Amino acid sequence: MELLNDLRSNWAIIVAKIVLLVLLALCWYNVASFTQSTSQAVAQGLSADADVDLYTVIDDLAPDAFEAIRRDQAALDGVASFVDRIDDDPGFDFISSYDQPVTVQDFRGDDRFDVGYGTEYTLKGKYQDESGRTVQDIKSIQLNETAYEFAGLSVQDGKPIEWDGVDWGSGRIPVLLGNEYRGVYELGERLTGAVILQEQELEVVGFLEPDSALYFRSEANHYLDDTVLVPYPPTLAGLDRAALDRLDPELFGRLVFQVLNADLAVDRSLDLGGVVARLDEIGDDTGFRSYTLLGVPTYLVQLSLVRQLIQDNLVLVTALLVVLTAGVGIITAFLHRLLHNRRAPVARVHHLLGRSPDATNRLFRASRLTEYTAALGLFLATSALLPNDSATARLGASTVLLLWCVVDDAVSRRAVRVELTTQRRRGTPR
Amino acid sequence: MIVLRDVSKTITEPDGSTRALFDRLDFDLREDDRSVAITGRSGSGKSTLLRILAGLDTDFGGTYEHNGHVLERTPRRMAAHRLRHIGIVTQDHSLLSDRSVLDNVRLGVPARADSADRACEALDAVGISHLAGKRPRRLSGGEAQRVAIARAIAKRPTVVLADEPTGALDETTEDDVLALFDRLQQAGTKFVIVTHSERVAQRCGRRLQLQHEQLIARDY
Amino acid sequence: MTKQQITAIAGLLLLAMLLTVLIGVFDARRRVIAAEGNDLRTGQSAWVTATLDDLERARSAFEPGTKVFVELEDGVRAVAILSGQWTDVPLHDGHALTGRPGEALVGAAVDVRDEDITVGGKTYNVVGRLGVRGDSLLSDDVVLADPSRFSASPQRLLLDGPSSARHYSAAFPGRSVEIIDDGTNRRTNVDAVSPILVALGSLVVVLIAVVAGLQAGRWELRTAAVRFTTGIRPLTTLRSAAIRVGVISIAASTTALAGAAVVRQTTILDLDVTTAVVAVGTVVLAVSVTSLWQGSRRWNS
Repeated sequence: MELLNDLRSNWAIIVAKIVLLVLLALCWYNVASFTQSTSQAVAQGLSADADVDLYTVIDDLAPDAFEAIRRDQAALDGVASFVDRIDDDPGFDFISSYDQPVTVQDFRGDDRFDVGYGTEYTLKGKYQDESGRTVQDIKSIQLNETAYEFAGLSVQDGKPIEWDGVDWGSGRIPVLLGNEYRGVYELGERLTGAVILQEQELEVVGFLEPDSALYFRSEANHYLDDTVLVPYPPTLAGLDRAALDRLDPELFGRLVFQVLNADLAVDRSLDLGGVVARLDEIGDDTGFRSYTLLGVPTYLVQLSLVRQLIQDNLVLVTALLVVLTAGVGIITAFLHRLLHNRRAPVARVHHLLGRSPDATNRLFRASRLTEYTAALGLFLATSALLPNDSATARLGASTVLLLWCVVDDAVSRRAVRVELTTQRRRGTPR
Repeated sequence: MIVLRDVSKTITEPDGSTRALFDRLDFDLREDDRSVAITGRSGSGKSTLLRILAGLDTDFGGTYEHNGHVLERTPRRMAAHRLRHIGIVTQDHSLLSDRSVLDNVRLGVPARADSADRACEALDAVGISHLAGKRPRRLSGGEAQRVAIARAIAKRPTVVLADEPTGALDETTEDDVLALFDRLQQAGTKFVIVTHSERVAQRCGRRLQLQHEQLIARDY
Repeated sequence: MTKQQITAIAGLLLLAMLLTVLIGVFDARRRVIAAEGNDLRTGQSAWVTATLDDLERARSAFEPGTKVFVELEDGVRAVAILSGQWTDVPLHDGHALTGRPGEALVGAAVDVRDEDITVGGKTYNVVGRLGVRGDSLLSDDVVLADPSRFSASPQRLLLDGPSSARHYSAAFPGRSVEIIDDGTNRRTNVDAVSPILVALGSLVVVLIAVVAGLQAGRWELRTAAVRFTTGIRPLTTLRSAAIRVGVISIAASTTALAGAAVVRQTTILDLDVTTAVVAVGTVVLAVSVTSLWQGSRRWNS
């Protein structure tokens, strides 16, 4: 009975408290979701593991020498071994990635996947190739496993690439698609596309997480949502050359030199001299010495600046949360006082008529429980409608909300206890 | 019935100084008492003594006995005693404006199936059944006081403690309320009335005065 | 109202105003950080092929804050503001471009002589230093305010501003628009979370204002009711009560605006909370007057 009376008399204050509590819980939810997304972003190529010295390895062959090596199988094997040895070296991360567009037949996507879209190059769109087929040059990144892991990429749907099973000679390559490809292609579908001028069947095995990005060509945030990720073979020297040559005798040469032009991530304890010495050793062993090492000093600077900006946002958002929490705390305390002043006479009368202080306190328990349940329910329902859905954030915010309710309950009960033990003085002071 | 022995209490004044309110005070409400008036000057501690009798104030030295048993002076124990045996009428009625007269009176009856009947009975006894559905805001001072009395007697207590029950009433209404008290006393309810009114005190069977931290019997 | 009650209402109002200013600071700072991470792009960005003249003729189609960039050389671009002002610029020194040709914004690593730089034989006056801090993703960048750097024939331009791609497509139907979105902010969900936080914070502020208004109205009503019984006309008591609440509102609003001005001076943030502050003050006054008026109607019943 007291629940109905209390709600009827104090509904406005109770509703105001509920709304404030829900708003605050939603703030906590959003900040928790943002913190989670920040951690994920940092894990994706911005973590301490990414604090390395970055160099670029390029071949320094003149055009004639380049053509000569391409025609010399033994020399190509030497380049392939050179690449594999660097990749296997425990002190180096050989990050090989290249953005050769893939020419896809009967491409189903729209212009945003075109290689020219959003860049300083013009949009080419669909066109007819020499065989009269309708094709389109679409954005693609070819990369090795080290590059994939260095960028901290992960698959949202489907399965990751089985790197050991990548076989360019089989005519079928498993690929990952950026998140914007959802609805354009499905898992298991195959695209016929030319990769490094060689037609392959590209089988869709997975979709990347949304907003996946990597450091590419001095660009700290190269997003992959509109890109096809094509894996390089796990090794070059160990490839089935016969199968590859059957597809195209020049494919191996093109592949080797594309893979060679890569970034080298080196632990910061090893200086440039040490890096050069190690590479020279590998070059001597494999017979390939026509390479140049370029430092990428901007890498670390950019990395730290991007990290700093993400950190800046986190600090800003957290500061706002602290301020809002304090603000809501103050106004809630005010409402609490108002509510208590309205409940106090009821408590005093019940106490007067023989209810013990504890029993009197329990009079308003149903009201308080109704208030807290309504707040929690509203919060859960509203948070589900927000675009940034996160179960972890929801759990965290719910926990904070429950703690807030526990404190509110304790403060309310104490206030009633104090009210009942304080004798009100009447008349003028003596 | 109710015996206070060696009651001592000190209070802290607004200026921070302490003052003895009672000094080894004794009070007893006997079986043959129908009504006892407690008088005294303003600030002598009449209301505080009533709060001690009601079990609302447990912060004192001495003992509280009921029917020969010394009661444990905890808020919980005294509330249980108050619930079973004591009805209280305050000067400001202490009615709740968010519910009807009947619901206000029902508050005085410990939760039972026939609480509505008891409440109606009590309203009948004080002559205001016709006001059962009204809200306290709409009552006159005398009507509100009657509702407070009905609430106090609804559970059929042994004792009714009344603190200045007619303080805010005119003489005619005061007479009505005192006549009501007489009727209830005849029915067996004992009254302890704190008052500064000589008229009220003279209507009571025994009169005590709070003076120099003690209760002293008065004759008229 | 008693002194204590006035203090309580003023306290609540100041709390609401403080939150308003802080939310404004948050939003301004967030936009500036986003701009740095997005290579100075702040709204919807798109590559278009057009001339500056085309765009300027259609400037009424674009929302305030829309601008167009053209790449000149590595790290150097020219900007033309199509509508309103370009305010979300991350700066650690100086001020944003005023729109006058001949001004430039440069990063901390760019060499400046006597506040001037020379690009392509022309001298520009450096009015601001790009980047939230000296060390920034924009430290090597140069942005020039010089319409003559735009070609008279159609060229690839970067359009940036609120819903710029949509407005461009409406003004130039059939022309190609390539929307781009590749800033640092995309790495996290800050762009989704921030507006929600601002909205939630604003709701909290409104609720505080409503509570303050209702409580002020209630407290004033008690005194007004007594005055009414002494014979003073209801309208007179209501007017004096409204004036009292109004004075508190104005005082709190003025304090907030002064605070915002201090922030603008000390942080190079383009902070404009005037509308929000005035709205909060108005809400308090409106709610208290309404609650007073509603309550007074019972006096004669």
